[in-house]
Amino acid sequence: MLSQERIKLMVRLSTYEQGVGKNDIKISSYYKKDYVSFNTWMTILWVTLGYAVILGLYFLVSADTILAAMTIESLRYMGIAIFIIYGIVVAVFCIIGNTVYKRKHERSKERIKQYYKELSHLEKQLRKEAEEA
Amino acid sequence: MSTINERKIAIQRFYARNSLQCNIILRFVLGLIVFGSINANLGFLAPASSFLVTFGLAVVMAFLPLLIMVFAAVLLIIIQLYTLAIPIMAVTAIVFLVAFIVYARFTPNKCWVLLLVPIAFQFNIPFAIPVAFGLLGVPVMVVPAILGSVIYHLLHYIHLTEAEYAATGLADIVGGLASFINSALTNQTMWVYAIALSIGLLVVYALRTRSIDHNWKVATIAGVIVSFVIALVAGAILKVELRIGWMIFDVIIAILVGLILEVLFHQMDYKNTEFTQFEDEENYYYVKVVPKKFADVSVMPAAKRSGTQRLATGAGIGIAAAEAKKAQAQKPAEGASTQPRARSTNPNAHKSASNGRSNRKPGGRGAASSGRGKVKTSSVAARPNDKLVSAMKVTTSSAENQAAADLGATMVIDSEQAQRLAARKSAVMAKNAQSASRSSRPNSYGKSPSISSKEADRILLSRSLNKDLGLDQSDHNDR
Repeated sequence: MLSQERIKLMVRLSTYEQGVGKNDIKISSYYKKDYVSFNTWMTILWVTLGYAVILGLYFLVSADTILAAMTIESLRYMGIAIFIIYGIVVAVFCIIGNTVYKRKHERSKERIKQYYKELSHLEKQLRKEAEEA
Repeated sequence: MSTINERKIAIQRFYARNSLQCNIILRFVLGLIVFGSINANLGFLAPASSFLVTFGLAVVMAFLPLLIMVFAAVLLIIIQLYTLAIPIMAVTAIVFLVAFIVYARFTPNKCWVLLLVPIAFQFNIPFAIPVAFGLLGVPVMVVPAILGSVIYHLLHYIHLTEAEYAATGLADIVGGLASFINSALTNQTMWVYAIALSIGLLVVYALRTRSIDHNWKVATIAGVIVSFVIALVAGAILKVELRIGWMIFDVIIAILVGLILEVLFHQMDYKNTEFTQFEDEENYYYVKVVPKKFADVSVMPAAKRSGTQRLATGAGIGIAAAEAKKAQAQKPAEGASTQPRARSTNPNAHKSASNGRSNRKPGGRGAASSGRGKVKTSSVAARPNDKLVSAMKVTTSSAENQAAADLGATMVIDSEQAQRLAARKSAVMAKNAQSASRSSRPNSYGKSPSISSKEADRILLSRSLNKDLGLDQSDHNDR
C-alpha cells in the first residue's frame, strides 16, 4: 500500500535536490574557510577588474585635462590617491564578500543537514515498510 | 475586508493548484515587457526589434530561469547599442559590469529585481519601488534600486539623443566617450531619483520593522511621502525639471501597491493584540503579540495554525502563564481544588506560573543559561480549563538537561521532542478549528454548544500535550 507520508517526503527531497539542493551540495563540499576565502579572492579580482576599467575610462575621457596639468608632483599624488581609493574599495568588498559567503555557506549547510535528516527518515520508513511486507 | 480575504485565499488556492503554469505566464509577461521596452526604446537593429523577436524571446524565457532573462536583456541592449555607436555600447557595458560586481555576483538568484526598477520607471511609477522593496526586502535592496535608476536613465538618455551619437564611429571614439559620459552620467534627474528611492526604501524598511500598529500602512505612506519630498527638494536644489502631475499619480499608485502587498503578505488582527511582561534570570521581556488574520482556518500553514511559536519560546510560555493568571482571576469561586496545579517535582513551579515568570535559577548564570538565543526556557505553562500545569525545559544538550534537572525543572525535554509537541499541537488545533466551526452552529435541538470553541481547543490541546509528556490526566486521577 502507498504511504502518503513517504510520497510527500520523497517529493520534498526530490524538489530540494533538483532546485536549491544542487548548489547547496556544491557549496557544502567545501570547508567554510576555503569556500569563503576562495570567493573573497574572486571578489577582489572582480573589483580590481571593475576598478581598472573605470579608471581606464576616466583617463580616456579626461586625458586632455590630465596631460595639460601634468607634473611629476601631481602624478605622484594621483598615484597615491588611486592606490588609497583602490585599497578602500577592496577592503569594503572584502568585508561584504566575507559576510555574504559565510552566511551562504552556513545556510546551505543547515539545509543540507535537514536534507540528510529527512533522507535517513525516509530510509527508516522504507525499511519499516519492507519489514511489514 | 472578509471579501478581500476570500479573494486572496481564492488566488492563493488557484496559484497552489496551478503554480507551474502561473510561473510560466508571469515570466512570459515579464519577458514581453522587458524585451518590448528595450526594442521600443533602443530599436537600432531592425531585425532584433521586430515584434516576432520580442515575442519569441519572451516565449523562450518563460521556460528558463529569470537569471537567463536578465543576461538575455543585457545582451540585447549591448547588441542594439553596438549598432548605434561603439562608445555608447562601451559605457553601457561598463555600467552593467559594475552592476554585476556590486550586486549580481552576491545574489545571482535575485538579480532579476534589477529589471523591475527600469520597468517601474517605464510605467511612471518609480515610487512603487521603495515601497515594494522596503516592505518585502532588506536594506541591501538599495543597491538594485540605485543601479536600476542609473540603467533606466542611461538608456532613456540614449533614446532621447540617439541622433547625436548615431554618427560616432571608431574614428572619434574618445570624443564620443567623453561627450556621452559627461552628459549621461551627470544626468541630475537620475541622481535625484536614486537618492529619493534609496532614502524612501530605508524609511519604509525602518518603519515596517517597528512594532507599531498598522506598520505596513504607516511605512508605505511615510516612505512614499519622504521619497516625494526628497525628489522635490533635490530637484529644486539641482534645478531639475520634474513632472509634478506624474509624480502625484506615482504617489497614489505607490500607496496602492503598498496596500495590495499588505493584503497579500501581512494581514494582522490588531484588535486582538496582547501584551505581556515576564522575566528570566538574564532579561526582562516586554512582549507584544499580534495575531495573524485568516478568513479560512483550513488554508493556514500548519505551523502557524496553532501558535507554535508561542509554545516554543519563552514568550509563549509567559503568555500561557498570563492566561492562567487571567483565568484564575475570572474563576475565583472554584476554589483551591480547581486551581491549576503542576504535576511537578518542583514545589515552586505553580508559583512561577501564577507570577507569569519562568523558573529561576538560584545563583544566576550557569550551564542551563549558556547559549543565548537557543530555544530553551524553563517555565510553567498553566492551562486553566483542565487544571493542568505542565513544566517544560527545552534544551539542546544533555549537559543542559542535567543542569536543568539539578535546578529542579519539572520535566526535561529535548528540542526534537519540543518540535514533535509543537507539530502535534498544530494538528490538534487544526482538527479542533474544523470541529469548532461545525459545532458553533446551533445543533439539532436548536441550542448552541455549552463550551466555546476556544475552550474546546484548550482542553483537547492540553490532553494531547499531556499524553505526549506522559502527564495524562486520567492516569493522574487514577493515581
